[in-house]
Amino acid sequence: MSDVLIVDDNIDIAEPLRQILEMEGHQVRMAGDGLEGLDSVEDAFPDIILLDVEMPSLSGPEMAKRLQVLNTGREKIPIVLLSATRDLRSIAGRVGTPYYLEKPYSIDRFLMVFQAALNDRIYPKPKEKAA
Amino acid sequence: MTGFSERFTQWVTREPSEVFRYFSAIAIAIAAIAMTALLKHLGVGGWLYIADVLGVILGALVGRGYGPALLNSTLIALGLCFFFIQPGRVLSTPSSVGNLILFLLLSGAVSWIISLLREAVKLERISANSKDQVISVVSHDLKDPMGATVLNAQLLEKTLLGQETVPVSKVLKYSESILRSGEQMDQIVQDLLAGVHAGTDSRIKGTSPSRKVFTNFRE
Repeated sequence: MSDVLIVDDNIDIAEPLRQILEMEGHQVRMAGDGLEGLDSVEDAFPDIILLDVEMPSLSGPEMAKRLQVLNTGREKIPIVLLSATRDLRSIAGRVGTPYYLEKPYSIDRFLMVFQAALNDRIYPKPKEKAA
Repeated sequence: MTGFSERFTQWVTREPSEVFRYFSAIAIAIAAIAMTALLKHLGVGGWLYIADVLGVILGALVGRGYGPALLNSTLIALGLCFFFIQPGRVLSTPSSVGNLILFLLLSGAVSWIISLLREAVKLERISANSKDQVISVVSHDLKDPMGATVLNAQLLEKTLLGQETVPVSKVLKYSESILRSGEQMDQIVQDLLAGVHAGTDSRIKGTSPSRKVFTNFRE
């Protein structure tokens, strides 16, 4: 069982993801934007973060960047980017994560990427360090 | 041929630095004057004036702007008067004044054409960027609820197939989510249609079949 943090402002996406992961036996926490996500990471480091890109207050890439800046173990958390953004591949490249899924995706596809991230645990290696 | 015209347009419409513009205009004017002197020395009289006209056009093209073009024309007109008439009498004869006016008009015309071309290229770039942005936003706004629909529909299917008795509240939750996402997509399509049929959106809004379906289903 893993502790999963879902950071997405769209409840219609976040809620089914929570259901799917709970059915798979994981423990799930949810955050509505990057700031809430950072608070949630502060409470307890999750095993993996499922991160949307475009969100109010603090975007996904910005949140990922702040996790890197803090440099206290938070940067070792694997991140899966989930977004409908067109250039998700290049955003994932900037964040430095090999795990990303462009919406819409099926449950099977999601679980495949999620499982790969959980098993391999390749954490983000950003190309550009935060300014 | 297309490649050449594209490269030429890029070259003409790029924004050179002020230093480059004025230096290049002066250099071309000096080159044109030198060419005039050389041709005069060689006794090829017919080409003298052509060298100066080409110098003015080239100066306006390379200098790209009224300032450098006018500077270039003035220098060439001065040089021309110097070689053809007498030093110190540049503006005192009708022909020298005529040369100056002709060159100024010529360089002004070239600069004007370049500014029009530059404006057209700028508008085209803005239009291309706006189109790209619209596609990007619409694509994101459509794919987001589409993703929610796919997930919730699959989850609904899994739940219904996986259990003998499914709580109604769970089924309603998933279907409500699918409906909400459908409404979001419908709204985007309506906004797009309203944009396409600008001025007639009042006829479109609220009358779409999908909207009625959503409303009826809810009721």
